[in-house]
Amino acid sequence: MILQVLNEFYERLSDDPSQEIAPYGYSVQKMSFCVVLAPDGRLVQFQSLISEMKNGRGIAKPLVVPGQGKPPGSGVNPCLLWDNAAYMLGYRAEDPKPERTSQCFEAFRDRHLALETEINDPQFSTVCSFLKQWRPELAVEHPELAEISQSFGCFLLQGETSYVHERTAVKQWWDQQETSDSERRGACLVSGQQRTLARLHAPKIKGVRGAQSSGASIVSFNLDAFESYGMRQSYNAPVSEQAAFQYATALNQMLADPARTVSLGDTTIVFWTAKPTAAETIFPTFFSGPLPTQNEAEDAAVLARLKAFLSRLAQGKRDKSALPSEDADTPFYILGLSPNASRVSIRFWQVSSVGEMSQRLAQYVQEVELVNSPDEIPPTPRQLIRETAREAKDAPPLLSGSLMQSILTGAPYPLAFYQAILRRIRAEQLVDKSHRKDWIRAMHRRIAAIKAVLIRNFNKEISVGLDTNRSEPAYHLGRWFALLEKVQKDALGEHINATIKDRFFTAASSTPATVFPRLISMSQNHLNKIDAKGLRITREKQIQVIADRLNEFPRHLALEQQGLFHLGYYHQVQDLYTKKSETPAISSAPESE
Amino acid sequence: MSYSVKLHVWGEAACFTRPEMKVERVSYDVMTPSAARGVLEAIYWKPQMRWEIERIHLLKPVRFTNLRRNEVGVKASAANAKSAIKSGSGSLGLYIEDERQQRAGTILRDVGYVIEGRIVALDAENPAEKHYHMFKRRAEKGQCFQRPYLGCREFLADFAWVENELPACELSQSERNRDLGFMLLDIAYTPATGKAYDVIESNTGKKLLAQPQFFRAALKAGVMEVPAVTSTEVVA
Repeated sequence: MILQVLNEFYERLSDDPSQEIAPYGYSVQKMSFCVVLAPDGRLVQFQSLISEMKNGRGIAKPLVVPGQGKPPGSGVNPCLLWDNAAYMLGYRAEDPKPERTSQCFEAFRDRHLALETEINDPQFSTVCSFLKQWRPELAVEHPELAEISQSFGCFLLQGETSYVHERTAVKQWWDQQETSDSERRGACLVSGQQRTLARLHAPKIKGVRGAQSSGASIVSFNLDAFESYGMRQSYNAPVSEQAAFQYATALNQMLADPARTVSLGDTTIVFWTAKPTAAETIFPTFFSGPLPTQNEAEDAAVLARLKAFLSRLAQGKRDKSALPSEDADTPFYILGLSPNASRVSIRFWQVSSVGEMSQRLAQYVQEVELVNSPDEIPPTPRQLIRETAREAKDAPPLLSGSLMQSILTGAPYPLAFYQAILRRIRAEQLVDKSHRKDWIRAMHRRIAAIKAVLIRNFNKEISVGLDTNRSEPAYHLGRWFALLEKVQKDALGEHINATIKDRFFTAASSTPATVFPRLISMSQNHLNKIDAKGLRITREKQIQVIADRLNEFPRHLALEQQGLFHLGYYHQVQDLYTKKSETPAISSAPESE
Repeated sequence: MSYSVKLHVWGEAACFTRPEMKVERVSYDVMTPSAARGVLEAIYWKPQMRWEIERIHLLKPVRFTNLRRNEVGVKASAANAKSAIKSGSGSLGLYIEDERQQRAGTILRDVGYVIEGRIVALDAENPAEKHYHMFKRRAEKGQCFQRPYLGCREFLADFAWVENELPACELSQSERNRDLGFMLLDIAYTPATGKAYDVIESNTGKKLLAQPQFFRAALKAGVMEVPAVTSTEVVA
């Protein structure tokens, strides 16, 4: 099914004139230079095809060229009318093996000269006469070559607008060539038609993070233990050459587009829909954050679009207004790939609809929503995953995949994720403030993660802000702790070195019975120190209200209750630091009375 | 009359590996006919009969999960075994530490199916009716030759005989109808002529060629119809 849908995506792209996608037998390659020739074959100049980006990095120009990428290995394999400088000119900057370079050039020249009469095109002949007269030694006279020859190059005739490899005569000749080295025909698993079957699937899949940079394969049988019934290599899975080319090209096209891919942990995820929709570009943006674009106005526009989309989702209006409603039934595909040796494995594969996905995303956005968020948009899954480890790079790769899957399928969040978050909160009580600049954000995101897990996995109904009517003691213990800390700060000043939070928070959240009596007696001393009588009475009243809800201190809080403790603490802190004119003061009685 | 049976099978996990992704295994969404045949054969099979799968009912939503396992990347050498038999000594061992391959699997979680299969009697002395009753008695008692499994040996299947009403289907309306793409129907075995062969039939010792057959699978109201091997829908 995966290959089939990718194959359909290829057809969608090839029908779309705004998309540059290689037809069967061709590929898109990055070109950094172009050899400009006069009609008689003399060299005019070496032209750079590199365009400057905003960040100062150069981007080579992608062009559709005949043939697949350069085959790896030590053989001499010249391409047709495009190649690297070693083949095209016998030139390599700081050449370690000059002999091989000259061999390459000779092979390239001989191949083209042999085809001159067969292709019979004036422009092709011009290239041939250039190759005849070119001496690799002459390259030294062109110092600019060292700058621009890192990637591939191609030929252009002076005054022409299209490259020599784009000539109709060249294409006609190329299309007649049998590209396949296989003789085997059979039923294609993707299309069901009788076709030439692929022995190896080409092109390789590039752009999966962590996989080999030269590309890896989804379909590959590289050891005999994988083969069955006497079939060799990919004949074990009959896929036609054309289907293999199309699915791989479509997938490569998506993987090369930063707006479509998200990498989370060791998983690279691509999103697409059966027909062009807004959702397929906005979803990845949500998961990975907005991309850096060419200019700031564009950045702002993307962010504004994302914010508008998410706020509509959060308000529960769902797809109907966030996305055009006619798109709601359009199939939505999500493919998660992760590297495994020289292969690419399917980490997850999901087929749903645009409407369903918007609903799932809305559910997530509602679950992680908290009061007084320091961020403008809800925390992204990547940000939450980052909070499960000390350093971003230590975040467990398996978690990100399963968290993503939970969000996309509406399944419970992985408990390992919840445990990891609680563990980080316990471990970082002391280091937070001094070691992380963004610790307020970090704290907020962790609580958001806890809230989401409590809602989805433990079926709790949890409000965005303080909820004084909850039944769970753990929640009120958390609130109590926040008040005790506030009392300490009221008495000793906001900037004391070590608050009770730094010393007792972990113990209070897991074994309240051992800590709370001691904290309460300490708090009495703090209360006595508060000079303002009004404030002291307010605090005493606030504590009394919470204490009334509790019969005893539990000896031990389970994981679920620990989460509630953290949440109660957070809600109470946020409430304490919110101006009372904006929100009503804490009251144990419902407001309507 | 036709002797069709219905068998409810379920399990915690299943992997009906797609041929194109059988190295890094990815399961088909629904049980394949050949896996269903394997389940029925594990409960009852005789050389005088053949199972034909008619349809498979999907009872639970398709859910995937991931796992990675260490497996061995080579086959034991038949040539070495042969020469060891001839000479009386030789090295037949495989060292898993050297041949280890880590393979990822995207497998199904929490599955349930009803398999509908038909008994085709191959000789007149043993009518289909006899096989039918033998199968029924065995299935009702929970007897089997070997424990039936869901695609891979490690994913055991529980089974129950279905007499009248099918177990409830938990699929939502939108999940009941969809295209499943090309699916493996079964492997067709034909007697091998000449030296080349793919497998040796275990009960007769005959050499056979194996040819995989595919069909365009689709879910209609939660049911996947399986075409007969001879039908024109089947591609090989």
